[in-house]
Amino acid sequence: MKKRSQITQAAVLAVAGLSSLTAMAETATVSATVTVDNSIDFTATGTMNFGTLRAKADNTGTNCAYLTLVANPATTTLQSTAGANTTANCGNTGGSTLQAVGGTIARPTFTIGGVAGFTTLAVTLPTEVELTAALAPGAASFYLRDFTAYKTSGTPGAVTSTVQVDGTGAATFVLGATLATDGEASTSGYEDSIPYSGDIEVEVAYQ
Amino acid sequence: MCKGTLVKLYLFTLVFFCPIAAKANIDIVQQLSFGKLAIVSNASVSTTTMRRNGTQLSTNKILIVEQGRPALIQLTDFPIYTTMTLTANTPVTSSMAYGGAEQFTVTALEMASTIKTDNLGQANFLVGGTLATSGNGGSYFNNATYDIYIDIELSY
Repeated sequence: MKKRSQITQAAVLAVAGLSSLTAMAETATVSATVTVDNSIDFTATGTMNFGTLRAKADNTGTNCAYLTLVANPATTTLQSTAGANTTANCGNTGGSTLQAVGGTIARPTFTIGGVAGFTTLAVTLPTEVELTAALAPGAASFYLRDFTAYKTSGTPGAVTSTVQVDGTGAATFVLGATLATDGEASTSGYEDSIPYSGDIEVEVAYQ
Repeated sequence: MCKGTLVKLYLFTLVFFCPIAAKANIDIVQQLSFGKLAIVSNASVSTTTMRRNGTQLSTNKILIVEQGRPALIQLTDFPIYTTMTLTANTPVTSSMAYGGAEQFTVTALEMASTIKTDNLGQANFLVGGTLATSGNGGSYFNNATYDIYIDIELSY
C-alpha cells in the first residue's frame, strides 16, 4: 500500500513536469535597420558652347543682340528667337551684333541617379549668368538668360520645372539658353580669339 | 517489483524533460531591413511597410531608394509538432546615439500568429513590419543607419 502511494507521487511528478512544458517561452531579438539617404547623385558633363561668334556691343544704351541654343538636341543651329527675360533686357538691337561664324555648338548634360524610382524632382535653372573674358578685364560681357532643359532619357521632352526619374532612379537632361551681348553702357567692346566663360548652376531637389 | 517501477518512472521523466529545455535554438538567419529611404519631409508622420512576401510600400513623404527585406527566423531542436504563439513587444523606437536626431518607431510587426514545428522540431518564419517617422518636423541624419531591437516571444 505504501509502495503504491510512492508510485502515485512519481506519476504526479512526471505529469507536473510535462505540464510545465506547455507554458514554456523563448524570446528572439530581431534587429531592424533603416538607412536614411536624402542625397541625390547629380553630375554635369560637357559645356555649353555657342561656337565662334561675331559680336559687337552697343555702348550707347540698353541695346543688345542675341542667339539661342535650343535645349532640344534635334535643333543643330543657333536660333534668333528668345524668351521673355532676354527680350526684356534687349528691347532694341541698336548698334549691337551677334552672328554665328563657325565652331561647334554643345550642350551640357546633367545626370541624376541614386534616388527612388519614378520620383519627381524639382529643377531650378539660373536666371542669368554673366560670361566674362578672364584674359581681358574690362571687356564687354555676354549674358546667358532664358535657360531651358530637355530630358533625353526615358521619354524625351521639355523640362519645365520638374523632371521624373525612371524606375532605376535615373534621368538625364541637357541645357539650352539664350546668349546676349552686353546691354549695359559698356566702356569697351569684345576682344577677338579669347574665350568668354561663366559658371552655370543647376539645382535638383526633392519636392 | 514496485521499487523498480519507481526508478523507471523517474528516468522517463528526466529523459523526456531535460533535453527539450536545453537544446531549443533560435537562429536569426536574416535581420529585418527597411532598406535605404529618403525622408523628403518630416512635417507629418510617414510610414513604410516591409511585408513578409518581400514587397515594400510607403506613405506620405518616405521614398524607397533601396528596398529592404523581411527577417527570417529559424527554430531548431524544439519539441516536435508543437504549436507556438508569436507575440511582439511593439512599438519600439530606434536609439540613434548621436544627439539631435529624430528617431524611427517600429509600430507593428507582420508575422504569423502561430507556427508549428515539424517532426524534427524545426520551423521557419518571416517577419515584416511597419516603420514610422516622428512627424514632428525634426531632421534625420543623412547617410546614417538606425537600429531598432525588437523582442519576439515564442510561447508553447
